[in-house]
Formats: sequence, structure tokens, C-alpha cells
Amino acid sequence: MKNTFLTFVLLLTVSFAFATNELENISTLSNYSLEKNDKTDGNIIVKTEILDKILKDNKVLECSMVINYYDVHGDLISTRHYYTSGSCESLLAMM
Amino acid sequence: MKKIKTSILFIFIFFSAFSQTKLEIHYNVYFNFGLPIEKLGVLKITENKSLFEIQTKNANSSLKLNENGEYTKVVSFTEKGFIDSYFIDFEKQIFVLEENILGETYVVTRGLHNIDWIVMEKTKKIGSFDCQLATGEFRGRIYNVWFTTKIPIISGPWKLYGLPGLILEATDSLNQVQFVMESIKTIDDPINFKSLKGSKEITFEEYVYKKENYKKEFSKKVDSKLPREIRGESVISKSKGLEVFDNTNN
Repeated sequence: MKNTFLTFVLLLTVSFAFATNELENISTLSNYSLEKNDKTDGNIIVKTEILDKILKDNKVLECSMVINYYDVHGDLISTRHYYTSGSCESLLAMM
Repeated sequence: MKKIKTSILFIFIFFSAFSQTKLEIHYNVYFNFGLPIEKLGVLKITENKSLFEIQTKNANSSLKLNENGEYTKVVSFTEKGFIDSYFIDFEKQIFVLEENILGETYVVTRGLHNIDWIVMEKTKKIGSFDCQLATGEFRGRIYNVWFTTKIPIISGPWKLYGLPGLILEATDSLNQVQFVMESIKTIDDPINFKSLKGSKEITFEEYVYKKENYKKEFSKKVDSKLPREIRGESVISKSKGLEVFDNTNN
């Protein structure tokens, strides 16, 4: 009975250690404005913001961006969310 | 409180005799439908014509006389910009608008629209002008406007007119649209409407369709240009913007 309990505690400790390690490697920069860009593209006002980057071992797993498009009177036309996996390069190219 | 539904033509005939001067009034134009924007509004008026232009701060327009003795509209920009124009000929009873919708400029010519103004007792001074309050509904918004009979011209900024005096200030009930007079001066230039090169003439029905659908059209266009590696989701805004068109054809 005592051995079973010790095995259980050991397994729990090992699982926790692995989980912690994974969490240390994956970090997400939630709601952190990494890049911002406001521009007027012809007759559209474009406000762009990189919202979130999910990193693992300092490599980007996923990147997300939000773009708000406004017309010439400042009326919101649409809000668009974009996602890429691998890197933020293609999103940054849209800014 | 007195409701006025007097015909615009009648007011025009009555007051035209008093207003022989050409005036240029500058308004500070403020829109806030999500992104606050300030613009310059320039209203030029004579006894029978008015031209209102909403300009970006980096744009201006003027009429230049060419070799054939005709006036040509010249728009100059320091950067990318645009101008929306609203021209009224009170004598001929026509209203011409030239607006930019997603980079294309359209011209629409039609009759004058009516706004059923209710003139209130309330008064205030704007600059040296005694003004009176009036309220009226136009395309989905209720406007409170201050007009002065000291300038007995039935004109005003944008598409707001029809009171027995010039509108110097207009604010909608949601505080999203505002026109505030900044300056007024006399001018010598003629007032004529000249559409921009490349403007397309369309009917009022086509104009309404474009205004109601440009958000969807724009989103389709953006989607079609999206690189393959990017996944996208979009929410088309339901904001009513500056004006909402109903079936009254007004």
C-alpha cells in the first residue's frame, strides 16, 4: 500500500516537472502590441496591430494580427483577424 | 415651437432679393463613427447657388479659367486626399453630389430633398450672429442646428439646408456628426460645379446601392488578395455611418 502511494507521488512529480518544462518553453505574448501601423491606403484608413505571438524555444509557432479598415469618414468598414503558423513575416509584409 | 414645411422654392424666392453677396464659410467638420476624424468644410454661397466641399486637411480645390474662357475645377493635394462636393442650384431645383466611395468618384444629380425642420424658441449667439435652434431628422439621424436669419440664405453645410437662414452649426443627437462655423468672408469667385476628371455619373438608386454595399464589396476585394499562408476571419461593421437610406427616396 505504501509502495503504491510512493509510486503515485513519484509519477505526479515527474508529470508536473515535464509540464512545467513545456510551459517554460512555450510562451504567449497575449494582448501585447508588438507592432502597430497606421496608414492611409488610397481612400481607406488602415490600422494594423500584431496582437499575439506564440513562441516555443524562441521560435514563432503562431502569429496573429488584427486590421481595422475605416472609410474616409472614419466609419469602420470591417475588422479582420489574420493568423499564420511558422512566422510573422507574411503578416508583417501586409502592414 | 412651430413646424415649418414651407417649400424650399418659396423661401428661395422670398430671400434671394436680400442676399446679393457671395460668401465663403469655413466649418470644422467632425465625424466619429469609430475613428474620430476632423475635416475642413468650405461652403460657398450666392443668392441662388451653394457649393459645400468636405476636404481633407491636405487638399484644396479651386476654379481656374482656361484658354477657352471656361472654368475648370482643380484639386491639389499635398498627400493622398479627396474632396466630396455638394452643389445646389436653388433656381433650377437641382442637387448635385460628388462623393468618393472606395477610391472611385461618383456624381449624382437629382432634385432637392426636404427636411421637415421644427424651429424652436431657443436662441444663442455664434460669433456676432443671433441664431435660433431648429431640429430635424435626416437619413437616420436627428440634427440640432443653429441658423441665423441675419444671413437669409437657406443653405447650410453638407446636405443640411431649408431653413430661413444660413445654418452655422449642426450636431446630431449622438454627437457623431458636427459642423461648426469657424470663419466667414465675402468672395468674388463664381460658384459653379465642375466634376473631377474620371468621375462616373450614376443614378441616385445606384448611389444608394453603392453606399449600402461598399463594406461587403470591400471585404470581398481584400479576401481575394489574401496570401495562401494567411488564414483570415472578418467581421463587417454594422455601423450606420453618416447616413442611412430608407424607402422614402429622400
